[in-house]
Amino acid sequence: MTQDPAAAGRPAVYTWEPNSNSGKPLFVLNEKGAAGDAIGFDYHYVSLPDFEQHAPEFLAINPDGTVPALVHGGRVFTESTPMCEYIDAAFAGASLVPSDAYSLYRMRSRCRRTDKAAEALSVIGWHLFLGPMVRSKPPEEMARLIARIPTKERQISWQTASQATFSEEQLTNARARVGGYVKELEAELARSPWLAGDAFSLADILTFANFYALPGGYPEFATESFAPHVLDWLRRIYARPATAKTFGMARSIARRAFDIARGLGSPMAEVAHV
Amino acid sequence: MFELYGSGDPVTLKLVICLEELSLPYRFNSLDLQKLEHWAPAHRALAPQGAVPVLVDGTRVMDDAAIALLYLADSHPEANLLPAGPADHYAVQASIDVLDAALLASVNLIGWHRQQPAEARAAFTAALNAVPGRQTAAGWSAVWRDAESDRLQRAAEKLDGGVARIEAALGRGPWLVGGGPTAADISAFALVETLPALLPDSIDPGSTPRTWAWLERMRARPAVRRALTSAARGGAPRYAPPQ
Repeated sequence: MTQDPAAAGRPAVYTWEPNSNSGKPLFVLNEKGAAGDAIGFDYHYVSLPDFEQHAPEFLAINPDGTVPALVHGGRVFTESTPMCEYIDAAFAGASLVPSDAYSLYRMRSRCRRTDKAAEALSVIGWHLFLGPMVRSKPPEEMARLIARIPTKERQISWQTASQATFSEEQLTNARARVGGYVKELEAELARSPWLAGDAFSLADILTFANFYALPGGYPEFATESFAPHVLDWLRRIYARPATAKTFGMARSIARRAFDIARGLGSPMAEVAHV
Repeated sequence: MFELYGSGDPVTLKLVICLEELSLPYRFNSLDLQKLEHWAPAHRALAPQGAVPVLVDGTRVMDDAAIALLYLADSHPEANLLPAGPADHYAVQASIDVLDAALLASVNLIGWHRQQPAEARAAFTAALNAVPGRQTAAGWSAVWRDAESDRLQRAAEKLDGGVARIEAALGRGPWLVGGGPTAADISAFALVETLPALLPDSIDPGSTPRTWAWLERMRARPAVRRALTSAARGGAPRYAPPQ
């Protein structure tokens, strides 16, 4: 049970962009190493639009075919939220997890509520980006990609998803749910500077990983009258060096994130290759 | 003194077992979910979206039961229900999340169908849809409106996948994570302990011998015995209706 993380070697992260679940370990590793020595890690890019999460090379790492996957000390970690607690505990650096039991409850409960709200974000995201990309693939190519999905249950899900188009009502409902959650975050941030209390924690990082693009995708909720504390919270997180560093590692979403940060009046330091 | 608001459903059972394992004093406040008591104003003051169970520790109201289980374990490190080593700590949380995702909705759906006749289910659904201010699903589940028979079939398949994960984990040792019982065992046990009666093919000594023996090991624990005969369980399991 006791382990020596220092002897466990350089971590490897297999994931897509710093976005939603995919982004969680990237943001957390960079935050963890922000105050002292940076944590060096290998970032293996897994392209979700190309279904690389179901390719044999990745299934050899995570047989479930989901990103992110973290490999460290001979172990593979595949559940994105507990994985971040592991990173906090296994590496030296700033503490991102509160130590008293009730603050921990608040932090974990917030992470789960964000994951739940992210389902509504993913409906909109599918409608705008991923769905059209998937539907543009030839049917025989799609059939081949679905056939290699490891579980029958997820094959059925992808089969349904690949043809899914949402009704206006479903999209309106999903947007309303996003707005409802922004209001919930607003109430929380009116009470305390960070989502689990006085200290910046995984609750902030993981919620930011899902909501960093709020002003771009949902301008009606990103206003000073609707959610001033949420906007201030976004600015404070965009201003963190680890945030700029993480978006600097992105391939396809970086430009959007840098534009949003500038629009908020909290520009990130540009990273050379963006 | 903890206050626990719940019914005889699998998730309430998780917290009861954990409270019993830790010898913590608690008062059980029974909710009849079929009568929508979890959507009554008194309960919504604790859980605005009708969550069940709710655990209250003084002024701390916890309506996320999976996390409340970790809260209890964190508050009593001496019981080792949540190992301190980071990798095992991760493994306990991951086991709870993965098995909840694979089993919880399926067990409740199948159990509720078995327990409630079609007319009672229809009446419940009508009453649920009339609840003011209730958030309905906005994610993918809102898109997949399968026929009821398809949903039950899919639930049974999903459930088999969850049991297979338990059987595989027990191939590495007598408990789901590490060398002793943890919150992962409590959580999984509460989800599947009624399966041998509910769906006899899902867990049996022949096809899932390790899971069968583990259920016996868990049932032999005094705290589990107390939980299963407690007021919270009331002798017969109940299943949570759709949210």
